Amino acid sequence: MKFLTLIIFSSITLNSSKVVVDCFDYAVDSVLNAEKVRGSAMDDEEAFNYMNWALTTCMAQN
Amino acid sequence: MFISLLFYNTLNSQTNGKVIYRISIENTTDTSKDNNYKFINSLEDIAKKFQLKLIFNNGESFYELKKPMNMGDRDQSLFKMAQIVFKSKDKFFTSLKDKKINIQKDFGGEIFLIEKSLDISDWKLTNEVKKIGGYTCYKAERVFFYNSRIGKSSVNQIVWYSPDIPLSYGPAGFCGFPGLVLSAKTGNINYVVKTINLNIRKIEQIAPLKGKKVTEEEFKVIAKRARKNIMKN
Repeated sequence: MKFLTLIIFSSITLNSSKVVVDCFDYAVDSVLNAEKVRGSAMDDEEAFNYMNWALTTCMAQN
Repeated sequence: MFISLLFYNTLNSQTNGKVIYRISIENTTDTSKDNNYKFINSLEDIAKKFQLKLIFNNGESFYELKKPMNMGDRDQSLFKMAQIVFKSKDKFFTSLKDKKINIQKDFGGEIFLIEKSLDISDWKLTNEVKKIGGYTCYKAERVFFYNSRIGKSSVNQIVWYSPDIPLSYGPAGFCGFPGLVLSAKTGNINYVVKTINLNIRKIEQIAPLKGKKVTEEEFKVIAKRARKNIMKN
């Protein structure tokens, strides 16, 4: 039973880590896309707000 | 000259009104061939819902994005994202008497207030003319240098202001020109006037903005720290 719990827990942890990494990559790509569309690089404030939005959206969907 | 200046100042302080701006993106590429076309299309759709409101009275103005009612979860999320892309998160209070502009920023769960002077000394005022909504507008332009997340960056900015309406207000902080700004462009983002109502009987109250007072430089340090934390470099 303990072994099964450990496997399930490890699987969830690994999946969660993968989601975080994937979402981070998605968020960074999103920033680049947005910058391309609007024709200017984001400042620190905008990049923080955008990353925050993209990470939250991605995590909610996964 | 003195009389016209007097007339200008009197008009500036006495006229009240409400101006609505809309937003559009200038497409620089063929969107059907662009990998971002879905993203661009959704941004264009959400841009149609953007209404940016400028109200002014007694030499003061207030500018903000009007949030549409009855949006679903998906649209609300897209709207939040578009606010950032279109530089429309901030609220602006302008005082022509003090020649100051206050910018209210909702950042990281805190409300900040930055005060700047109304200064257009880095703008080149040209003689180029075009009509917008029947008003004669003059072009002003500059290359705006700023610190972006990747270091020193610049963006071309163009403003069309109309001395026909001698009020130094405008959208998104583009203020201080010798006439109301009817159109402004920063990079590919266009702010264009949709409606102008002058001398209306019932004008909304304009109150100075509130928030934790910081200088522009102090805010940049706070934002840089937060961005580095989230982007890990």
